[in-house]
Amino acid sequence: MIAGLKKKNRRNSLWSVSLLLLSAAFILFIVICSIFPDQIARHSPERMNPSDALLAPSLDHLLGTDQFGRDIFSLIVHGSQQSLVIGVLSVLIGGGMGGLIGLVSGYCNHAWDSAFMRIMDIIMTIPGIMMAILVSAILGPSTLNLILAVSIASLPGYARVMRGQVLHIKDAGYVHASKSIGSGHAGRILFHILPNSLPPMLVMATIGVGNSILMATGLSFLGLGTVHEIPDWGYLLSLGRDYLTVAWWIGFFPGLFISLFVISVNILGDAYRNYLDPRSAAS
Amino acid sequence: MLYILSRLGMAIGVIWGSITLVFFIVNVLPGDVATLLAGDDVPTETETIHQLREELGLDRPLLVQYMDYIAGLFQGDLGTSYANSEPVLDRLLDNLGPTLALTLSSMFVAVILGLILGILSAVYQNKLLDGIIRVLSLIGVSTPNFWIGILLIWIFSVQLHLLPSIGNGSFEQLILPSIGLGITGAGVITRLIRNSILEASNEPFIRSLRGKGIGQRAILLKHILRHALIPAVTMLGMIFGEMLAGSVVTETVFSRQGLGRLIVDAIDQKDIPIIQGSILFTAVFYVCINMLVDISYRFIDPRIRLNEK
Amino acid sequence: MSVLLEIKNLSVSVERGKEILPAVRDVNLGIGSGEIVCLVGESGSGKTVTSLAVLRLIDYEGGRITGGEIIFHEQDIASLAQKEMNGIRGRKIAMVTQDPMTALNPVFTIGNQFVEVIRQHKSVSRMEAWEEAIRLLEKVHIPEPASRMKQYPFELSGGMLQRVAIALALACQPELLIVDEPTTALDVTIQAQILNLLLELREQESMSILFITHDLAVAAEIADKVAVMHEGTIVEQGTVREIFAFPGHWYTKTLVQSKRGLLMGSASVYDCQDDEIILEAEGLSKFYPLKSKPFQQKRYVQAVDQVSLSIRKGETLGLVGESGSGKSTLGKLLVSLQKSDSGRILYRGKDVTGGTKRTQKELRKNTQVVFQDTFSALNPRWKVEDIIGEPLRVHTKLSKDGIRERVEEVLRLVDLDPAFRTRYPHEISGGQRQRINIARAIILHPEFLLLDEAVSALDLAVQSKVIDLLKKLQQDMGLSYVFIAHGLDVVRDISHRIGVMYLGRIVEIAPAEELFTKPAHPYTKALFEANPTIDLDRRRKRHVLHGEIPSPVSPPSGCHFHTRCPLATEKCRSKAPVMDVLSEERTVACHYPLEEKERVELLR
Repeated sequence: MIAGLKKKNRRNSLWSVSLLLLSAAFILFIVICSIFPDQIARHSPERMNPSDALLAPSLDHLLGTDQFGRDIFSLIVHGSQQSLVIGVLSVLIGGGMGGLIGLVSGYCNHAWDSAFMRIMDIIMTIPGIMMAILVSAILGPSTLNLILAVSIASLPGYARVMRGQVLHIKDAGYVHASKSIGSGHAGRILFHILPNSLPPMLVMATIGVGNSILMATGLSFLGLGTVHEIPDWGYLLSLGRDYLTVAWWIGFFPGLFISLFVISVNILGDAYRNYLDPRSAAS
Repeated sequence: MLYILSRLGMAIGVIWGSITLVFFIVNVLPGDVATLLAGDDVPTETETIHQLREELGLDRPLLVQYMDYIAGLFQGDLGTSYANSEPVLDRLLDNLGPTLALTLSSMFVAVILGLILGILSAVYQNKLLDGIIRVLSLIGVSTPNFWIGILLIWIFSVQLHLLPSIGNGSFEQLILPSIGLGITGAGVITRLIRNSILEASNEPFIRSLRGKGIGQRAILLKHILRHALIPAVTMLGMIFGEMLAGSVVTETVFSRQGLGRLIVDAIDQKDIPIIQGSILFTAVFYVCINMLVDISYRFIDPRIRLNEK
Repeated sequence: MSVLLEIKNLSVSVERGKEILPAVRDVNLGIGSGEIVCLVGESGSGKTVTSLAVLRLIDYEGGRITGGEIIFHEQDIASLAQKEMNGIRGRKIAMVTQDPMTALNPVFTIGNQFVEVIRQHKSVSRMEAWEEAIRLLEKVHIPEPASRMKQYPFELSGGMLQRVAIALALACQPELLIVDEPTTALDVTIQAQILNLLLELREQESMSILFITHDLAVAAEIADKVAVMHEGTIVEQGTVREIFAFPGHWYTKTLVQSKRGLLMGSASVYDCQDDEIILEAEGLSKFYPLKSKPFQQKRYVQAVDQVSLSIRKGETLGLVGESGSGKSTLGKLLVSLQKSDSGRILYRGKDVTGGTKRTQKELRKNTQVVFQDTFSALNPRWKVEDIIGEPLRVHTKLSKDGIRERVEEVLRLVDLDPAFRTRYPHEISGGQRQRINIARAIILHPEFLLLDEAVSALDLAVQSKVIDLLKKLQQDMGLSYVFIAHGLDVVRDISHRIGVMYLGRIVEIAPAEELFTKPAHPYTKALFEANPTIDLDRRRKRHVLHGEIPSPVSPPSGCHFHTRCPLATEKCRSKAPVMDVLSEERTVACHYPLEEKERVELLR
């Protein structure tokens, strides 16, 4: 019986490790795509060739072509940069500002705390994508505005997690001990509270990259994205919708790439969470 | 009773806050409505734009505009649409029904699917079924719902000709959009239920129940589930908000009428009052649902109720 | 005596993370009918695993019985199917799990949980089960049982809940009751009540009890037979007298000796000659506001109420008291970790209450704290040398090498290998972690140390070593301690003087030995009476304080103790006694201090 238990455990961990490696590999692939698109994709994404329009996937055009004869694979590879930049930057901005608000809110006295938290409550009443729609509708479509919109929408989530962490760590024995030694606020925050409350924020930020990309692709699907020569993944997907009956691949593959990327990011985030808190490894 | 009243007061406060927030986003962000409306070909700061500004009342001080807007709200006046000069409220009410129908039916899909899969996943923890469900829920939360919508249309309408892909009105037309929108929520709920069941089954009182000879099934159905559902209920309000927002995209995919379509069209026409109004609508819904969740929470969990006595 | 349950060569393995480890090896233990058997051992010794194996609950918690038999009524429990076990569990063998606060489902009423259990085993109607439950609650002396039935678990106190849990276990008149650390989470006066209850129930119900505890003294109080567990095996078993009078195995010897050491080797000689007063508190008070609802008057918890005391150079002042007595809060006020609401603190005669930044920093340099939780007190991301060196970085401008030198020096002072400095907190044991905490506290050569339950979380043997270290440091460095603990024996061992707290007030201060032998306050006396001891000659059913500690939100009028005091009069109810000087070193806050013999007799 014991032997059986052992074997199952090993099988489980083997399975999750290989899944993790696969996810990491895929993320790496996308990152490489965004840096060296020309080396990965053979066809130019800008070359329109009416004679090649709406070709099904083949050896020459791995994922088929769109209505202008552009290679879908090239479009995805070249579009990855934009999606990635939006995802990462909006997490950095939203997470950074949210983290700061959470830190101040959790560390400072009750009045500041409730003031900040009420503001976060108010921001939260406007669901992320709505906030993003509003901001990009006002500011007009551009990559920067898209990033700003997604950042604002994700801000309260980070602020709340950070605040919870800080409230928790603030009461840890070593913070009290440091206070009794005579260290100042800055020292306690910088050396004790911040380093120990960051890990859950990093988990959230990892998963947040996925969520930001989902939100951003949703926005460009609605036409609030960027108008560039090379469309990003969301816009590509919305183009595909109109050709669903004749060329399923235009809509299918960009969506597949978005999903795979977000899944990979989530697996990575979950693994990191389990690493931090082995108790939740079972779940 | 006192609690409900104070909760209501809080809700009104938050709604006022979000009205203010949206107002200031619209009016303070550097984007200029008049310039936006005039279009790209009109150069900034020309006579046309000044005229437009005057017409829209945008030349008045910000605070006056704000007071005006709030005063209007009390009379049910959410402004007039730039595009066709209709009152915003009428347009919103016209489109509210289909969106609510879609949101509620997606909620239904999400809760039922999430509950069943979550329980199964927890009961068969670390078995094959659990693995499959976990992968499915991961896909559910990671896949853009507009893409799921497109796939559903492609499979069920284009390939199998089973269900209509677009439009609204009939029940059949509601099926695909609800599934498309519900899957994301189902993924979230599945993970939530699974985690909270596993957490609840580690509670020390479960050990003492077993020690008293209570059967596995009774422990699961009566004690663990009751315990596990409490945290899940608090998430319902959040998920509702996500669904409401997700309907914007889903309605576009399935060419359904509704708030979402209204917003998307408004984006094209730069019809800010409509966008502003729709967002206020969703905010109000969000706050109300969360208030209901909070109040019902107190009936589900005696600890909260009695702690305040 | 016939044997009710016989465990033969039992071995159990338990899944820990990714590994399967043997948790219990070759355990042999017999429990006669009507007998109380105590399974004693430190945390992780396999006591709980053994008890879970007897009920076969271990199957649900990642463990497997890998060998041996558990014979109960000529049946081998170890090889029964789980379905058959449900007929035994709760009906023939019942269990009371560790922490009463978490042993009941918080979302169902007490009554509901009784009805469920009773109807699981007996075919009776809901009404009949309800009435049966009320009878059970009466049996464990719960006041107003009928109204308790409609309450939720979290509305009752820990002691009440433990009674409820015991009553619930008695529902089907089991032949064997397994109780796992039933009093560990409780205050000592409540613990005495529960122990008495168990003895009484054993007589009434003529059942056997398997009693699991880490506390030797509790075992000495209640057991007929004792089995000592260490690292998964029973190292020694026998009658109480055999074990405590003539411990055979080295491990049992260490245990008994360290417990006795606490009693004998006390710092009774008042060798603290220095009369210089280091720290002084005058009329300190602290109250915490309770979260209130709108339109309601704000309520407060009076955590510390007008406390005055002084600490001399080189002296240890012990603070004892049950939960809610405010001893921890008082400690935090003394070292300015919290601000007092009134009163003042004098450090070497200088008022330091709410002082300037500079006096604060000076005070912090000279007063240090060691907490109970050895793990949380150390930043998990720092190496030992960074942790111990932190005070130096705050207060001095020493170079890196200078800090390292000092760190190695204090590591040697606390009897640790200087090589420890490169380790992380999670890599070392609890006792070593507490030494690190102490090292950090003394590196600046402070004058005063607050030891807040500093040894309470440690196992007995480790505990006495840390105490020895603290005594040694006090002598070498002339340190003053305030030592806060709920374990009376430890406080007696280390303290020169002891203050007894009850609901935020100090009720008595006296030199340690005098306090233990001639308590003047009725509460002090009751507290010591309730304290279990391994001195078997003192073992008897003694006077037990009735009732529970009142809520600190609305403490009783007059003398806070009057609700539980057998000597209370009208005067006690209306007028709060002030601290009275009895003799040179002794003060007590009581209208009727116990000096005369007849009053002492009255308490019996």
